[in-house]
Amino acid sequence: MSEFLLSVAAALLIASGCLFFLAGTVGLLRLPDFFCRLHATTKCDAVGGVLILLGVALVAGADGQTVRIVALIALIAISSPTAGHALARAGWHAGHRPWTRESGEKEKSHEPE
Amino acid sequence: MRNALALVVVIVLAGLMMAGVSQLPPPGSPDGAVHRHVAAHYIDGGKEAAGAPNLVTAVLLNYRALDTYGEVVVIFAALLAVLAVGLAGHSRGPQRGADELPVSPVVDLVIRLLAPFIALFALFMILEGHVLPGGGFQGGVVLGALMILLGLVLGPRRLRRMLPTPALFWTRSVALLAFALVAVAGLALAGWLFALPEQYWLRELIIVGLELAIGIGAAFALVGFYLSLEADRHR
Repeated sequence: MSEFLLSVAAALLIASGCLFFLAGTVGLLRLPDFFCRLHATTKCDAVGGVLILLGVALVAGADGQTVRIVALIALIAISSPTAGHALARAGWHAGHRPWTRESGEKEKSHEPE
Repeated sequence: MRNALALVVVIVLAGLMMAGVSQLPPPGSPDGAVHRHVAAHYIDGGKEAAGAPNLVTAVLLNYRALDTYGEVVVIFAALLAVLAVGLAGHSRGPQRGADELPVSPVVDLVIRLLAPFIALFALFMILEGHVLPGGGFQGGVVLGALMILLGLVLGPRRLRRMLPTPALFWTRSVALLAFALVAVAGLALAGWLFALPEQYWLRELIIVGLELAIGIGAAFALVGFYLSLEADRHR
């Protein structure tokens, strides 16, 4: 019984992780500017990846593998937000400015039909 | 006219290739030529003959050592070409790094935190390459990426100061020199290129040495590319 519950928990974690990846990918394709897209995609690794790895760790159980998975989670939790931060900073200094509704309207009116 | 000619060439070449493919033994069949001759020989005696428990490494560094030597030469030649192009443009006056941005404290801390682990992983990949899949080139790329990362955080000028010219000179050419040394020593002592000594531990030591040389050579070739592209950006 407890094994069944463990599998269900793992499946839920992995499925929600996949959901984060899906949302991140949709965001990358659909959001209007650099910062919004970055915001969407950094959720993939940081949250989606960690959730999937947690699910895998549950399946692996008390095993040597689990130690490695926990180490991987720590690595992702440290490195992914840092990468996002570095990209956002570099984008800001390279002259990107966050999209607002007004600037979006202005761009739209400049665009030919 | 040219289109018709191209069509004829394509048809002839495709016909030749089809004919060749139709003669191939079915994939995975145990009595295909590849599985009967050399491969069986490698699997039987590869570990002892090559001084590497991993057969891929045995083929890479022993049976096909001359081929790997060629790869090392290619990387070195690419580095020489990049450096030559960089030198050709250097006469236009002193470099200016005016628009350098101070490094974000977050990135700085995280890279300092992770750098030892990355270095350890690179070394592990290089040294374990003769037991596990992996090896010199891959580990060298990780090591090179680490140094580029440090260059991004500390600034290329500090990276350059940490790597004085003689050190760069030797580290870049170490793979080339190590391969040449092993090849010539084999020729002198046993009569053919890349011949390894009789003792197994000595064979293994030489293979590990070659892996290490490949790793360091690849890493510093990458750093060379980065430094010379970085210098180019400020011109």
